[in-house]
Amino acid sequence: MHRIIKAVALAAILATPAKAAETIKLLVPFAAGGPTDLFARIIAPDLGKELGGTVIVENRGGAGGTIGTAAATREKADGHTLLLTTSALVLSAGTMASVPYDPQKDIEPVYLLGEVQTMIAVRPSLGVNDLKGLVEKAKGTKLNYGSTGSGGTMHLGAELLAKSAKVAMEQIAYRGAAPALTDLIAGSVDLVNADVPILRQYVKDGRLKGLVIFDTKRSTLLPEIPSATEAGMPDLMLTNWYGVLIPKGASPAQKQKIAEAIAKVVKQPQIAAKLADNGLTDPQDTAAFKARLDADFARWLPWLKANGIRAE
Amino acid sequence: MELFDNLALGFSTAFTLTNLFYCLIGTILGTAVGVLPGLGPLATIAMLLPTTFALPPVTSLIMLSGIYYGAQYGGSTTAILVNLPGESSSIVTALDGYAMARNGEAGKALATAALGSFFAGCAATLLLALFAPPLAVVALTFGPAEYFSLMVLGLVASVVLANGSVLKAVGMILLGLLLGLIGLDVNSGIPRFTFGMPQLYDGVNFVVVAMGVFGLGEIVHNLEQGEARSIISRKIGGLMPTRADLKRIVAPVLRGTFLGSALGILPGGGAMLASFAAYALEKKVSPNRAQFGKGAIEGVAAPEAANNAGAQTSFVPMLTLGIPSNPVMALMVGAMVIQGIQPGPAVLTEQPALFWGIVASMWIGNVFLVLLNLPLIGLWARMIMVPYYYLFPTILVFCAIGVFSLSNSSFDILLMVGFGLFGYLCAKLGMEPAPMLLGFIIGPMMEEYLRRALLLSRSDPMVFLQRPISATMLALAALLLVLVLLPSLQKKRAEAFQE
Repeated sequence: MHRIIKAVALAAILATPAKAAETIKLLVPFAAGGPTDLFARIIAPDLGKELGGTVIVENRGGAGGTIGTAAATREKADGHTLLLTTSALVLSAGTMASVPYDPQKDIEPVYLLGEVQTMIAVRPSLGVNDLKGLVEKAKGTKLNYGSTGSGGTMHLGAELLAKSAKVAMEQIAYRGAAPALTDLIAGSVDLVNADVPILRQYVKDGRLKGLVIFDTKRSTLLPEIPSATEAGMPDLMLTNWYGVLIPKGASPAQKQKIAEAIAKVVKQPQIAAKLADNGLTDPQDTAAFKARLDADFARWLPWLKANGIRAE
Repeated sequence: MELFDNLALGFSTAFTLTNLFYCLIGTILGTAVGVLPGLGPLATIAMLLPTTFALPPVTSLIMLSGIYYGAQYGGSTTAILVNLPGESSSIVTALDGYAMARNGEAGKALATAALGSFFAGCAATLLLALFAPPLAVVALTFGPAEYFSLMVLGLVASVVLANGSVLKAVGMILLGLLLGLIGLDVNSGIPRFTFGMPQLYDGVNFVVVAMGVFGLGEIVHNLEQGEARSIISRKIGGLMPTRADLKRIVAPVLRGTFLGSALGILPGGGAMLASFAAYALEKKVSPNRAQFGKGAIEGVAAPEAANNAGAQTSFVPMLTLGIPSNPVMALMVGAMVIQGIQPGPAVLTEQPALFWGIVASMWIGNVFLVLLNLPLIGLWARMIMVPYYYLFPTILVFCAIGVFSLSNSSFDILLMVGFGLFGYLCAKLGMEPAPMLLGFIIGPMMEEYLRRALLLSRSDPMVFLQRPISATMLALAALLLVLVLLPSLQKKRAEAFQE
């Protein structure tokens, strides 16, 4: 028994890292395998090199990202915990009955990895060729759109269109984007608003028809689809951002150090190409990310309230 | 013969030293992941995805597929030895597999599972090679109405799973349905039965329930019986099935393979549904009906064949349409996109070496898996000889690690303990947990499809009867229900006459 205790103690001593300062936890508030997790795993190895340590990706999925985000807000702002999250940070604050943190105060932006554009795609058998045609069609018959449930971007994107065009559409909710797209291709639903990268292949081979990109500029992945501005409905704006944040209280110098390290990583040609291939473009520094966040909160919280999209 | 040309291309792709090596790595990892409860192929593939960036596309997909179908082999190991289903598709294997292990036939059960899996894996791969493109279209003819009817049929069939009273089985199914409703409602985003706990917003994870009810419940139950269990485990029968055993399992394996191949193509819980459909079918048609639940070898062979065939054919919609039929396949699509390949109908024509290389690697992988698993059987079976006071703490630790690894949440561990107590209670009351778990898995899906079908038909319930596939399945379900209830109805009539 004594020998066992000694062995355990020795193992514990050996297992203690020389300097705990060298592991950095990159919290992803979504399950492993999703796009957010993928981006985290793409940047983690090189980010560790840049910061002189090891970056470990930790998934804390659940409740639309709020569980992982809450866990991040409870950590120290010493640079050993970072959070990689998405626009869900803003949307969950507007759609959930309550979140256990203040998304505008308890967590601070460090670096915006980039944005993924969203677009409207319809089933070809619907027989519409452009946004105008779709709006006409929607005025005649009540169309069905696929979504990943209330408060997700697929829901908001379609509702943005419905409210702008002053038509009513029926939400058909799915557990994830993949089954929603399956039903769209099979013709059970009429349209979706979804991220460009997941729609790209279907639009390219003609199984779906892309109508409009929800942005001021076209997509590099599908350059032939017009932007919302060109299509004459400039208020159709919805991009998903992916960014790294830190618990509140970190010093500006520390934030700058981390932001510079991430900037270096995402601008490496190989990594930039991988991110771009998944539709993630336009990385931005701390100040620009902060401005973007503030604009998002100012835009979405009132909009969600005004349109009654809130789980009670 | 175009098929032979294609297969020749596939084998020449898969038979390079690199690809063989990664196929072996994938199958070894898959087996390990399947054996370790809680750590599923989904999490493993997600973690390994970045390591595949540097590999050629074919090689990385060969390895990732190996992990997936390898896990189907491994999942049955713990189900048989310690009543811990590693994957949702091995719940059914635990029913008779664990009973066999308790009868001292652990080796035989493991060998049966491995051989059944091997045959089914090979046969389903052949189907994949022969009919992939036309089969893919079948998956698209299934709309929400058809799925709903399929789930109804599945639920009715799960009553047949019960070995005891029908009433108790129905009660357990309904309990499972209710547990399945916990979480945010998909349509409205309103939390149901969450008691204000955000940890319950996404519902209860299946692994938590399965490990608690099966694994922990079994441990408590065993400890209560004291020495009785260790006497059972002292005798180990023959490790390999006898000639007579092999004769008994031929038909169940064939039927399981067929069912698994058919259901695996459909998006949703293909492999899982297939395994219990196969079991329910065997229980109805097998000449050894009375043995089921007490260690019938058919009860291991059929579901194991079904879940492996299902795992293999679930590649059909992914490879030919670019449509993932389950979360693992969705990750595969992600892996392809990262490699610069757009999954879809074009893969077959533009990347024939990729498609046929993966198909060929599945055969090779299945051979690897049998070679890996058969020698291990002796080792696994001896594991039962380990005194229980060493074994059960080990199982507990692995369960805790497995559950914690799901989403790094200690809440899940507490939940598992709660389900463990519940499982013990079930054992005491003679309530079988298997129907409950099936209700738990099917319930939420059924609700989802029902509401979706009604939303799309603008609340016209006739949609379920107007669509031929859906109507056929509902008719089958009604027929089954009559068959199940007939004996008890007759009993009632007899009682009435006596009075």
